[in-house]
Amino acid sequence: MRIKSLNIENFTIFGKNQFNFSNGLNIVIGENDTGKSHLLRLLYSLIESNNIVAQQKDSNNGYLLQKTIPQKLIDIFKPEKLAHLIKNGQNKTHINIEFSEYNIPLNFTKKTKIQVNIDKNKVPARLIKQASLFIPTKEMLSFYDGFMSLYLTRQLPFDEIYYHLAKTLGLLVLKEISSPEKQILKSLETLLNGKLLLEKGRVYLLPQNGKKIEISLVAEGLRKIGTLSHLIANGSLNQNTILFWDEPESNLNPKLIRELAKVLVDLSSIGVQIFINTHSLFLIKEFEILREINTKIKYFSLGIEVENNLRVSQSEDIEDLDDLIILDENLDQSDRFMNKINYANH
Amino acid sequence: MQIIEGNLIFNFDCDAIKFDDSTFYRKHFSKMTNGIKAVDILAVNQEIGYLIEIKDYTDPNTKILTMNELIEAIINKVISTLAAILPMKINVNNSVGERQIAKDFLIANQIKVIVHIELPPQRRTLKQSNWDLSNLQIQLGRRLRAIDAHPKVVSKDKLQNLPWIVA
Repeated sequence: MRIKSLNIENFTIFGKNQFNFSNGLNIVIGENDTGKSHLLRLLYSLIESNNIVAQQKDSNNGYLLQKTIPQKLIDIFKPEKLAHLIKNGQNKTHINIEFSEYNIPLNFTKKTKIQVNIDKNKVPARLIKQASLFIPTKEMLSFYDGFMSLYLTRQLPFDEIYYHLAKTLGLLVLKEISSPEKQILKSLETLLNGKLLLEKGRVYLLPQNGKKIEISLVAEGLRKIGTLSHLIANGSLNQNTILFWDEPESNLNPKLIRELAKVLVDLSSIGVQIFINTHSLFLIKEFEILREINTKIKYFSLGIEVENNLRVSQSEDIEDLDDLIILDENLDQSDRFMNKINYANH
Repeated sequence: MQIIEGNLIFNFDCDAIKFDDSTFYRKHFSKMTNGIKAVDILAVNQEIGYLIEIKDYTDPNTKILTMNELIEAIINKVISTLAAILPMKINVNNSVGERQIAKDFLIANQIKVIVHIELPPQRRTLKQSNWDLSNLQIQLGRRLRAIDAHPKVVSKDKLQNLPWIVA
């Protein structure tokens, strides 16, 4: 199952916006506070809700979704109450997620507490579980083990995404990995110059012909690469997965960003549907360098219009986007630099 | 057809004129108001109309513009040139060449904007990294998309299969 589109109305910063996604790599760009993370988190909340209900194998799917979705939204967005997810000054939020197999249309109002409204006739009798993974900005390979018990027993300012990832990272590696993923795993292990090792809940990097190193002593950028490699090695990231990754470039040097771009394009080419958001023009250019006729890449640029409305432009062509603030800033910096140098020379 | 622009020699297999040197542009069109600037070369090949702007930064006399100044200058030149082509076809009586290329340009089915930039030999300095031609190309594509969403930034060693050569 793949996510085909999302229609939202009055959700957090969004007014009335539609997103038509690619089956391959979906790249969300925009300034801070334009809803990039919200978009990824909303999609993830809806898939996770779908999965919880799918697992229950109950015929009353519509009713179960009505109760599961608000709880998921609370756990992932961490608002004090659901109503805080409705756009300021509005009373009602509408959301419709379209999967390749069916739609889930829902809405909720300021008065909604534990149950959103869903037209039950539109929800199919059987929901399909869809494996999904969300990698947040903060690296967590170095602390996932202790984090799980802490999350379950204490009030932490971390959302459920971190808990999900911690749980997934705790899975042991598979004995055999199927071939398309195996190639990608190999290239990641080349970057790491070794393999990850899980021993009594602790992660180590085992360099080729070397002594194991505690993961906390490995550079943070490499830990991110390690996270990806471990998720493939333990089978939780495979060709059927939908992958969300919040700012994958953070903590990576340009050389690693270049490799990361290749891994993401490779993953999308074996069938993984990917959603990332990024501030890195460098990463985007790498995607364009790697792009071939069959590569599925689509950009979504979010920008604020007058009266605080959000403008979304979407295209497979980077040059078609209305807002591309990372490029504007790059060119402006280039101007400021030239002016400074020229001024200094006179 | 050969066109010389500073130290660069362009050899075209197709029709081309040094546009900002054309009599119509220089004596009439550019005098209408301040601020009219035109691209350096107009060429037509197989129903593609080319607007070619040249910046040779290996020539010490070339005025160095910042990236955004360069982008604005190119956009302004492209718009002014396009505005000049129709009156050039209709109103020029004394130059068959100018009239003909304007006529050919007007029946083209594609417009291509080409920015020809020569940079000094590459040195890996912060100053040179500032001349990121990929940024220039993407931004021109975004700004000029109503005219040509995929303009090309080229140099004499990397002409990307264009129908001319530069020495």
